[in-house]
Amino acid sequence: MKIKIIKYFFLFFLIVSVFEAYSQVSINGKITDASSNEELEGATISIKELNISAISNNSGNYEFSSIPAGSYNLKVKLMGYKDTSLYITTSAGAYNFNFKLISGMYEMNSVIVTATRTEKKIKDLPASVGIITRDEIQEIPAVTADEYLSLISGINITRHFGIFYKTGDVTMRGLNRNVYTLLLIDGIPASIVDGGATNWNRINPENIRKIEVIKGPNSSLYGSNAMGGVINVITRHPSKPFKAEVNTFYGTYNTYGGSLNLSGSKIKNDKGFYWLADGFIRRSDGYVLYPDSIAESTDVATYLKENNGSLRTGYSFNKNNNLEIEYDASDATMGQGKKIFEELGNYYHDIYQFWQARYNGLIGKFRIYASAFYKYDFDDAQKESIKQSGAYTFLNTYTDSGDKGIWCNASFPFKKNQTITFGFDSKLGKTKSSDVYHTSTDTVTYKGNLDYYGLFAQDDIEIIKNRLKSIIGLRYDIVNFFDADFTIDAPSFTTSFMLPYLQPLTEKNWNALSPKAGLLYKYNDSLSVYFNVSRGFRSGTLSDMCKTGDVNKGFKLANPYLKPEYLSNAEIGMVIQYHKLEVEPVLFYSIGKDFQYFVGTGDSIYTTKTKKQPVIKRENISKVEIYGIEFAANYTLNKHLSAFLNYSYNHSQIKDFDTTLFVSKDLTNKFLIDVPLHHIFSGIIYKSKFINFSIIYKYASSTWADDENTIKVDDYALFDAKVSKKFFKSFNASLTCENIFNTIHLDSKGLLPPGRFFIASLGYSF
Amino acid sequence: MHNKKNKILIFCKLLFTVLFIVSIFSCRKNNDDGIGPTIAFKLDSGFVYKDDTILIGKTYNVGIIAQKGDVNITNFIIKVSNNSTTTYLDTGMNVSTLDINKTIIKGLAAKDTWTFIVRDKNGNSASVSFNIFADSSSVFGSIVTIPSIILGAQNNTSIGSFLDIKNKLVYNLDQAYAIQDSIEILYFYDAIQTDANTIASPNANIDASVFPGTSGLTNWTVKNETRYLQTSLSASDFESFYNDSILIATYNETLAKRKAKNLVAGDIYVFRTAKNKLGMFKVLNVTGTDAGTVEIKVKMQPY
Repeated sequence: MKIKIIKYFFLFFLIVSVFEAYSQVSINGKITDASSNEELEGATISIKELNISAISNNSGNYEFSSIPAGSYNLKVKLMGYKDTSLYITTSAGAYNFNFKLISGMYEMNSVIVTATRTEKKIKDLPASVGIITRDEIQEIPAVTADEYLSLISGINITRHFGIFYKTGDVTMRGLNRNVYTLLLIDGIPASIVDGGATNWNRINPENIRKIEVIKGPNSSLYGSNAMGGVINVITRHPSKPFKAEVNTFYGTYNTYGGSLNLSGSKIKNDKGFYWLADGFIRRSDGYVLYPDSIAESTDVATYLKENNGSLRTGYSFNKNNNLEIEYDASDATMGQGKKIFEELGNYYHDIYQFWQARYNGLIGKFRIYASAFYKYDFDDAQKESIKQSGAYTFLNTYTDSGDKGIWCNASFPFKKNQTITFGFDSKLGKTKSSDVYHTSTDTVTYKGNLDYYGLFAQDDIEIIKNRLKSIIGLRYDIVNFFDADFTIDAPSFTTSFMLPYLQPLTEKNWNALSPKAGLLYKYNDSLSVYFNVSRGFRSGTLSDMCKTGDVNKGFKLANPYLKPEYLSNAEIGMVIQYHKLEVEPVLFYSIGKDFQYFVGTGDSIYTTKTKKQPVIKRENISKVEIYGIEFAANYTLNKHLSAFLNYSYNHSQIKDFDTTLFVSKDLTNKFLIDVPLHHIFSGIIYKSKFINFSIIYKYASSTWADDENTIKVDDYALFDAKVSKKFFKSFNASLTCENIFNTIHLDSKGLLPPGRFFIASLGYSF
Repeated sequence: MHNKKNKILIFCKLLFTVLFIVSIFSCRKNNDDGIGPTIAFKLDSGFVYKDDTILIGKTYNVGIIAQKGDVNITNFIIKVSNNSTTTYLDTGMNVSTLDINKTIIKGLAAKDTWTFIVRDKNGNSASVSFNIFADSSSVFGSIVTIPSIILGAQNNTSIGSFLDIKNKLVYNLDQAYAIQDSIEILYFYDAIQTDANTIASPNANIDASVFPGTSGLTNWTVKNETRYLQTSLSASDFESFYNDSILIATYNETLAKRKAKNLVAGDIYVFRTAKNKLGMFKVLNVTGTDAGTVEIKVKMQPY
């Protein structure tokens, strides 16, 4: 009897098992890009009901096996793409569901690192942020990396001479100088020593994975120069065992070149090596900057010769830990459009090298990021000129600059809904610049060191789950200015007039406390409101603190006592998603303190035998008031067609200009130069299997060219377009036209822009 | 073990590649200065090219020939040492060869050491020098006095702006154009560079709009250059000197300029003409408009 019961039990068990086996379901599929059909790695496919998820591999494939039959909501998410979901009903068997993801112009679930130095979703940030995706970079007509920044409202790009300009002027939030925007590349400051303009030409757009932008003062995390905002260009990361992309282009003014991007990944089970090599060259004959009516025989075409390369290799220890080393190099020469005797004429030659080792990992509950870097920059600027008196001057300015430092931060979950981030940054920089005159015996040299040290901490709290979040941060910076000198060797009449003005450049240090606090209220997934207050600062430049010499406004004395400039900001913004429309309006108000301007000393001096100039000095003399509106709207009609509009209004005025201690015109109520009151960047993008097309409209209202607001530069409107097509799966051809209607707008000195500019490119990838 | 070895090998290869590319891109300013310029005196008759003894106040000629080395000559310097070293000339250029003559007036110093230097873009230089001794038998020369010369500004239709000082004749623009080599001094009112009442010479830096037209200065083929230096002499000093000693002592070629600017009554300037005659003028009166006049008294070495 007993044996019979046991037999029946086993039989029952067997029947149940077989029955269960036949009720099991497997689900697999492929995730691809809706427009390019490219397989997408890293997408998360989740089944909420079962609390399970899978990640698509480098072929875009995902799989769930042995899950019970039933009805589920299959959700797919990938950064840079719109979430999608599918409700499925399954019985026993295998199912295949493929998903084509549409790239999102503005994806609230996208993760951004720059805003908090940790990974955070955009929708959880009480700040005005933006991401420019790789797809957008490929869709928008642009030639240099900085031009893509116009996709973020409130960023003003001034590239009056197109690619024939060694730096792009990137300004934000109504501020008018490059030094107020901190540019990072892969999290490390791109400019050397004291901030300022970066050679954007050096960044290959083909090597950009995405650009993260956070607007407003962010010195609470990044220290000096993060006053108008922070831009972080993040380069591509290898994901396939081997990938190669070759691209060549040809365009106006005999502009030609190409790029090669090779990468490989031997990562298996989250462990292994990866590498990337990127090279980019460009040449161009250029054009003459002066209109025919005033061009002289010494005005020649600008020219361009650029070589850039990048090597990176890393090792992934596991899913959460990896180590990388990187080397970048660049060698660029740009003609400046003037030639008197020398074969190469006036030019600017820049050699740049960058080394970095970085670690990104999770140790215990600490997420750690650490980077050690060294940057070196050598500039050689050659200049010939003939003065009004007929005297010929020929000199080269040689500038050696270098930065080295360590940036590191760690974050950990303090409580269930609270993350603490803290870190330490150091950046030790120095520069030495010599004007070597060939038409006289003079050598004028200035040098100096600027060391920055910063300690910061940030508390990120979810006060009410999924509803109310706050982030508060504080950073303390010490800036040390030392070992500065200004000398003139073998002075002749060319520079001997400066000798009475030489002064000792004493060591100085400053400190700055930069707080930030923000609050985000999420009404629902489609509507959130945020408010934040913050403070930023910027130390003086070495050139202003060490160098005495001629500038446009007069004869400038070094001022080693320059104090930092400060900016306090308050802003309120909203993010609204309504069906296919995303809208983000932002209102901001800023007060700048101790802003620097040139003021007269009461003296004047003959800098040549015939030219008398006022003696001036940069001083912290004014308050600045800036208020404005930024408005961004994105509308995705369907997977083929989308449109966007960015508008910004910036009212930037000088207040409280203190003339009591200085000889200067009172600039109170004057507007900041180079800041357009209105700025528009809008466009339409069409994507399909057959062709991709985009057209862009850019408008900037008139700007003031001088501090006294007497010279105005006219407003202008431009149209750009791009058409591209992928064929035979691996080839990609495109034609970009900037300034379609050849609108000619002269700059404040009456110089010409490049006008209508075409670039045709052909690429092959495998 | 084999896998680990492989990984180390791959890593080393990549590191080597990085270092190799570093070495290619590592570029500094080229410190190899190369072959420098050469310089020599002209040995033709009429030129001084070695130590010599010369009468005070007399002129002598120096000729220089220089050739570039690897790169063009960009700087030519003349220095003179007597009681101190001063720079007589320091000029920029960008030439492969230099052929230059200078006429120098022997000053009062017992010994002048003249050094002629050429430099190129790479900082290489070459120099030659000689000593000029004052002849112990030197006597000071006589002077002539011109009690009054009136010159008109550029828009004065009755009085000319151009002076043939040798013959003490004043000409208008068209007349002066016909006898360019005789014109060593001119007068104009400078409103453009705000130098106002200015005595200069055809080779001074004068805006083309001051003397325009077919006969305008920009079309002259012979442009004499007279150089001026303001003095602190008193009116009585000016009236009382009777030989050229004060002219030789006061005139300084390195400090003299091509224009005597912002003239007012009482100003006293020493000058050297293109024909190497030293002189001095005192401003008697001036009407400060572009149709006005200037009246000067002149005392100078005779032609």
